[in-house]
Amino acid sequence: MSLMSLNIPSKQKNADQTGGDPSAGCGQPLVSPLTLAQVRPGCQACVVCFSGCIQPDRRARLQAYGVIPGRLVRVLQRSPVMIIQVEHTELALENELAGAIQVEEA
Amino acid sequence: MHCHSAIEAGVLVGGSNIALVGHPNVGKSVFFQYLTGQRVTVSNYPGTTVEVARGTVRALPDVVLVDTPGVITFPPQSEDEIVTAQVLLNEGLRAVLQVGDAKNLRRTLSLTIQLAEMGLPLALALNMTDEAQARGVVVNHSLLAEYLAIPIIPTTAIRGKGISEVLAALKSAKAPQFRLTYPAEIEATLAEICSRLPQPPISARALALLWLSGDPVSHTWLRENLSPVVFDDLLAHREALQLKFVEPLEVVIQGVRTAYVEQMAAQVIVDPGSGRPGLASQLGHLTVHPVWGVFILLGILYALYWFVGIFGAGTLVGLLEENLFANWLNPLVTGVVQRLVPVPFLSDLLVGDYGLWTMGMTYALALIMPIVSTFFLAFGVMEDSGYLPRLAALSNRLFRAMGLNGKAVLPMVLGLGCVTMATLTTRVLESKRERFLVTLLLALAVPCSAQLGVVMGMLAGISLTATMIWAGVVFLLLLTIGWLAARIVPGERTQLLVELPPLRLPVLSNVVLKTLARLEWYLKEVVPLFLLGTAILFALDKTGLLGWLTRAGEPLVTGWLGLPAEASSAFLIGFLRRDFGATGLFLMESQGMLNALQVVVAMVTITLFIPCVASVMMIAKERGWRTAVSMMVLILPLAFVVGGLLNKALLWIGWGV
Repeated sequence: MSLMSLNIPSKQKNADQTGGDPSAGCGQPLVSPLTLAQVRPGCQACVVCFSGCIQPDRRARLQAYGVIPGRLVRVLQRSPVMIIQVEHTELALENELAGAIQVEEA
Repeated sequence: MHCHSAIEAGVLVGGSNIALVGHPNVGKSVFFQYLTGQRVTVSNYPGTTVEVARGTVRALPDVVLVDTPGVITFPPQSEDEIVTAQVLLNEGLRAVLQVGDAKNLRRTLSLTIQLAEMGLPLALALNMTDEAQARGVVVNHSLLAEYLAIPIIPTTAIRGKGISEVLAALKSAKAPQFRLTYPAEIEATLAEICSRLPQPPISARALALLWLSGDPVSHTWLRENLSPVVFDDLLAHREALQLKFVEPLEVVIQGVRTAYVEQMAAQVIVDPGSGRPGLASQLGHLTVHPVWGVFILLGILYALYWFVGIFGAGTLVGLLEENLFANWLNPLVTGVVQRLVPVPFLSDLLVGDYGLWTMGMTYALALIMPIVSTFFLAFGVMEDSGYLPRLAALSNRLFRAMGLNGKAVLPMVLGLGCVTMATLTTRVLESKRERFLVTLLLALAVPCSAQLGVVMGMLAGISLTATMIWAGVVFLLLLTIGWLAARIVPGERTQLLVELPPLRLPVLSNVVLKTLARLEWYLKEVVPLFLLGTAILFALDKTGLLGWLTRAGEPLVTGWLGLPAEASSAFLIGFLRRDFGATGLFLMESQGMLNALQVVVAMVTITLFIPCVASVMMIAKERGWRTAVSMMVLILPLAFVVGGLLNKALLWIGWGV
């Protein structure tokens, strides 16, 4: 199987759409999107995108560890820091940083 | 044995290079060592400070293996990653070998996709299969190989498993026919770009995709290989394309790849594995538990205290300093030198009161070395067990108050062993600001093991309250100055993000090797500085300056700090031999010259005092002389101010008089 064809719907601009809440950074008009910081220990979530407020180098490192849009993560604990599992990698990150990762329940 | 003639730090023509690519910490270097053995040269990639290793492979004649710096994803984010991109683009590679982590397949495949799109002959070695198997991860390798049209080889490089299969795959590697379809607008622009590209080094499509994602290396290549008119036209195309999407093009393109990786993973991962429910995993979770983690930490601290403080500083130092050196070695050396060297000045220099041997070398070998050796051993165990990132997670809140994050715990704890080495270790911190702040706190308030032993011994001899006053004052000052400095020094705090590796039993031989390497560093870098310090003391003593400086400092010491005049010389010497300052005070106390209050004041002052000459030199080397001097200018008066205030406060309460 060497040729794969995929049609992925992407978030395209229409003429009459303003692009949504700029601080959400995802082009969707959400009031208060669910963030990783709000996910309870033991639950899984699917990464949607990063908030605009995230420091660029933190985002780059998160992506390096596999925390990218479309990936499933599991929350292990929330205190004293947030500990999540991505595939077979465990990461410790501050709750603040987790608050900049928008997710949807999985 | 180096093949210098065959390898030059540059591009080799004829396509005889094979690049080793992969994420950090997947075992790339183990692969490289296995394949190349001793036939390696390391040099800076032209125009950068990044080191690239090249070696010949015995099993593959005429092939040079290039070990690229670890890359996470393209487009490159750091200088290391830029060099990797340049190797792929500019070296006319014969093949690419990606080394990936078998248990984190999606992460691995995200990079594989990008490499496959480049159209270079590619093979993927899924390494650390032993760890994957231990977790119950099962992957259908042949199906994956079908999907990607490249050889997939499971390996465990540290055991040498799979290496020969990898070599076979590399010999017959072919360019994969791999193509992902992107949204229509992007495909249109890709077609535009590809039609204009002359002879690209990797597939035109991949080059175009890199460039659309904002990669600087391909940008440079395009600018250099296209006429300005064509280049500007393509720029306009890219801008127009971006306007059609809300998210950056890079994000859109990556989204397509991620979806494909998910699809593949769903088909190819037979069993995702279930983590390790064994003891190591449970213990691992306990170590970061908000309550149990603290207990475990206290236990570890106590073990550290026992091993370094009691065994190292007590038993070992006793054996070496009091028995070997004082009773046997020093008298022997002194006798020999005094007989052989007729000039009293010179013999004094070597074996006198401030002699290079009697003071400098004895200090370095009999006192410091056993203590730092035990410390480095203990620290090596903590490192290899995977405990340190968990300690960072536990202590993060504490460091937040000081404008840092939990990673700072590493140099701070190391500082309890040797502040000089800890200052060097600040390199692991992620920002210049953090490195500066931690260096300052190390110089100010972290007592090294040599000093710690004497200080705690003296305070323990008085009462627990004395120890607590000392610890409390030093700790409080640490927090206060940390907090203040974080406000004053510009820059943002870096939020904590660390990987927690699985807890494992350290391999003793590795720990010993690491400790020996650190000791070697210590002997080469630090001991000469102690000798220099001793020589300075010697000169001061001979010229009478030592006496003069001591007397000059007396009013400050007696009036403000409330200590006897002799303490002044202890402080002065304390700069050159940090423990000697404390020992000098120890002698005074044993002669009944100091009461409890004075001991505590003296210990606090000497703890806060500027660090030893070796540390100051290290700060100058790492942060620059201006920073080093300004720190000393701040710390020195601060130590005396705090000591004096403590003196006044305790007198006022009436404690310890």
